[in-house]
Amino acid sequence: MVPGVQVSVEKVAHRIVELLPEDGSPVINRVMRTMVARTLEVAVSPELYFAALDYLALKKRIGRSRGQGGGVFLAQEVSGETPASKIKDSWPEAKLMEPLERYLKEHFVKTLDLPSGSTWMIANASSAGPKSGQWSRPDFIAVSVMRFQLLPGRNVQVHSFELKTETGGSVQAVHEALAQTRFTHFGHLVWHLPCGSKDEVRLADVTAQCETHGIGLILIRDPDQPGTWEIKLDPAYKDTSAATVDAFLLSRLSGHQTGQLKKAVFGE
Amino acid sequence: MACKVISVVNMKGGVGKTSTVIGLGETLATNPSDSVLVVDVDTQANASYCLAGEEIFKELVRDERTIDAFLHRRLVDGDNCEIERFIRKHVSHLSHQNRHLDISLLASSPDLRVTEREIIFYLTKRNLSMEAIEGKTIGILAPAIELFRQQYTYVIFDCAPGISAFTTAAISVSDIIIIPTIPDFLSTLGLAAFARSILKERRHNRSNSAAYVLITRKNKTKHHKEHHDLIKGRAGGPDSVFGIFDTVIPESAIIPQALRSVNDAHPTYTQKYADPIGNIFSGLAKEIRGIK
Repeated sequence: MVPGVQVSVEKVAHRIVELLPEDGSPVINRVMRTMVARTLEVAVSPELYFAALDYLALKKRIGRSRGQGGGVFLAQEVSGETPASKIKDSWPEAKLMEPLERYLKEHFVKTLDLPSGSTWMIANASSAGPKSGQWSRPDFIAVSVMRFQLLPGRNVQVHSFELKTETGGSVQAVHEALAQTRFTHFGHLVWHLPCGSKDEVRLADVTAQCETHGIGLILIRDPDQPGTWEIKLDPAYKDTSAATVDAFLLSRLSGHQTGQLKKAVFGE
Repeated sequence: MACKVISVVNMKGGVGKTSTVIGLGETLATNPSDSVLVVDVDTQANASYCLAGEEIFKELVRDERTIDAFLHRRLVDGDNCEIERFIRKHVSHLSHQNRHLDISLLASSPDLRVTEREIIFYLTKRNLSMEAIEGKTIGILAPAIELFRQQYTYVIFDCAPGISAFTTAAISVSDIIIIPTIPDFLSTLGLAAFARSILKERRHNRSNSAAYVLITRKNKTKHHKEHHDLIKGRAGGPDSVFGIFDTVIPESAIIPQALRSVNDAHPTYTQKYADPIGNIFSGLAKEIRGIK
């Protein structure tokens, strides 16, 4: 028993197995915890719930899925199927990367309204940089180097983009995009949300959170049609220190990209 | 924190009583330290259905865990059963900030109307007057409410339209009476009559409850504006029976949508109450919390 509650870990675990779809479809943890509390008529604390999940995982009764605070599904031994194959997304994140890169290069940079003589670059940063640290790897970064008519020098601005699939767009995703602005000047959440998607139910919540935290929101309506993508919110400028941005770019850009950037900034 | 017992009542139907009970109850329960008990004394059982969902509601009716079953056993069968076993705890399908809303339900069922008639027939046969029947109902509810005051932060009664023995009992044990009112001619007429009956109940039961009008389903017509002003003028005066909330619930399709059955869904509070409706209920909850 977990102190302060009137129900055992085993009882919660048993109820989780009873409530999980037999076909191995995942249920997100927030929903499962609510379902358990409703059916057992007791408060189920996160500690108790996750203790029950650990208990079931040890017995290989369940599998866990990621995104939106994580989820749980019946393991193969119980359901007789391969749940992982059920969680497939017709547009997984890896498949969305290429259309996003194309969109950023062909459409997004035009929205920056850069003065003539300015340059920009788009870099895939999803696998660059240190492996440690939470929410420190944006999927893409955009770097613009602006030149002006009268003012001296160059102005460098860095945007970070966090890409989420249809089921992955959530308030937590906004916080992920926000966390990435520790290193950049602007943060964007890019969410694949086809028109009429069931996941549209979270849009108001996600939009409100983006607005509150100054995060830009780009909706991918049809990945194959970048013209249908919608910039729902523009991001607010974050006054990130030059040293932090500099260190971030050095760790995320390739040698070739760093060279290009130096050339744009210093004319080297 | 002291418990507040609230009755949501009006003579008229269709003024948004159940919407108010559910929206207010769920909004109050978003505060982590608050727990809410909804007591449904409306024979339509809409609040029970909306809060519990079809599956749990059917289970409650089947298992006779409803207020009519409780009252029948106490008043007709003479069974001294405890009210607690009729309460469905943790009934809400909503969560907020990763916390399941702490809402319990004493459900009604469509049998409540029959039970009420049965109780009245049974007790009048024993030469009890209506006043005595109301007294007996209050005699059962009052100690139950005292028990609830120890366990919940808010107890909210969803009353049937009109004045019945159960509504009278609910009013008599309440600290706050909310009268949802559409600001139109007929509702304003009904409000005056209803205010008189509340005054009578207060005198009769020596209750210190405070009554507040909640303007609901207000549209942008001149007619609604005039009647809203009229009700505001009548509220809060030295001889006034009722006050009025600043919060106004506009005529909006969003409210019925927010109350739709949610059997297969377990949304967050903010998913269910997207703006502007979430802000409206937050405003009302703030006013309720502010009432001393």
